[in-house]
Amino acid sequence: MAIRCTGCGSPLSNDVLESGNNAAGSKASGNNAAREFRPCPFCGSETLVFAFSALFTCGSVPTAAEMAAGIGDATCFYHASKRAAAPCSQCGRFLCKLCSVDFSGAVWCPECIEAGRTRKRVVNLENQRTLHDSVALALATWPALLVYPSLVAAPAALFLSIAYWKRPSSIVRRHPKFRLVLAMIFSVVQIGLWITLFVWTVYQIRKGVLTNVPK
Amino acid sequence: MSPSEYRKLPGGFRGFFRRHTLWLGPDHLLLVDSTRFSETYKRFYLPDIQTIVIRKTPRFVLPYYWVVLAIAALITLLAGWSPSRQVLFWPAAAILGGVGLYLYVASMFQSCTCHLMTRVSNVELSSLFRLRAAMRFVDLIGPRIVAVQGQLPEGWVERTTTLAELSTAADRNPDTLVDLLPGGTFSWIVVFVFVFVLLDAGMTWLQLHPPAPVPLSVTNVMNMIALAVCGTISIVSLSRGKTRHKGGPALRMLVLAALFVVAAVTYGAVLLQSFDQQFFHRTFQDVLDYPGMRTLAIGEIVLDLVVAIPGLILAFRQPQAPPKPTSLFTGAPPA
Repeated sequence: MAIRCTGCGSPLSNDVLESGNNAAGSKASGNNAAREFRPCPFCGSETLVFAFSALFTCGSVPTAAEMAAGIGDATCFYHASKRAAAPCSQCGRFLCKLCSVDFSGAVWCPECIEAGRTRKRVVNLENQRTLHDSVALALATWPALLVYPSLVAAPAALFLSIAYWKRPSSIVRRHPKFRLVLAMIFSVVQIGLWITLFVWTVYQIRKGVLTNVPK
Repeated sequence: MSPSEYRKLPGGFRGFFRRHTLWLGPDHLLLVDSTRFSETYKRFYLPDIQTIVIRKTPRFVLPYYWVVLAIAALITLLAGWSPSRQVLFWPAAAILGGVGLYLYVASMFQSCTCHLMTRVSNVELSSLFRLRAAMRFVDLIGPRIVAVQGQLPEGWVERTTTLAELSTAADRNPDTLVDLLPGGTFSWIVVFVFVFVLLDAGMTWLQLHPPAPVPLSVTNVMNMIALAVCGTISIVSLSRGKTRHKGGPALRMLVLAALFVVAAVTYGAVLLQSFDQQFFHRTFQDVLDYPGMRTLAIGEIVLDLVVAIPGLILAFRQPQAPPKPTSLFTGAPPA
């Protein structure tokens, strides 16, 4: 596939392709002069291209003859007519070359990959996570600025912090429990303040201070 | 994989609602698109990366928090215009000056777009919008990719050209995307927005001139309607995505600018009044008697005209929407 300009979509000329001159090579050899932005021949955008050898590699597709099972051959769990090439590292089923997936340094079958994705047991298969710790922290802080909403939001934040304590947070965050702890502290303080205010109001009413409205 | 196995890569885009960051795992890059309450992940395995293309751009990226700070400083500056509130003036002027200085410094850094290409995908790495960060990213990631993939073969540039010649019809087609979303076409609603903004300017001008006074409520109603319509159109147009029609993005920006002007003026006026009522316990019969209100009104007229006139010109230059196909049998549009 030709390398195209990311601005206008037209194929880049040879001198633009050489502009990055293999990112690693130029850096390793201290050849920074090779990194020179060059204009796209069509739109004139100053472009720098770093190409890697994956540009020239293509995956080998096994032929039907290679995969056909002979007498005495073990066959694929999913395709009875195809020769087994490897067992699944998770469930042990025999897999042909079409069904075996190289994933995380092991051979997986499509079913185990699907199970890992849906049950969220394999981190590398997850493509989305809800950040319950951020939700809890937001509930514990923002409504407090408007005072009254915190009456509902603070207990909700405390509930979320406790309920989702063991639930995994962001894949990349280093201290996943930090926000939950903060949310717990803020919400407990707010609940404490509300309780204090309630007790104080009741006490004042009993004392007759708040009911002595002049007629 | 535990979180500590990921290493943060240079760059990062922080918008008001979204944040994009790049992380390096043991064998892949992880692009994290984060709203405040959820994260979406995209992985690029090192053996699959074919090219990284960096293109210099003239675009000026301004993080949202600077905009918020500038607006807050501007409103405070206007509020501090009167001698009685001068205590607010100099801090606000200092903050505004600081923001201006930042903009000047930020404009000296070169912006860029960075695309990462594999055999089946071409993804813009939004977190790498500054050239310096993009180059640091390549310095970090390049050697790792080479370590996994090996060095490029001799004469690879010529081979790339050969690849282009041997490519399939799908490869040869330009990467310009199929326009799945409806493009920007002429719409009376957009014209309506800018007419409202012009009317708003006219009403404010009349309000400033005693022979033909206009009650404040009329101007406020105009502002509110313009605000609601601009807001709705902005949300709709933003959710519709990119239009390739000439002038489409500029028109969308002008609608957004109209929204901003009307909103800023409306809330600015409310803030000016509330400052005097809350802190100085002063209430004037005529709204224009509040300090800073006349300056705000003149500013509103100028900004309204600056936004509405080009907006109307661009709105009328948009192509007409194609007629809907009619049924051969009934002559009516198909259900």
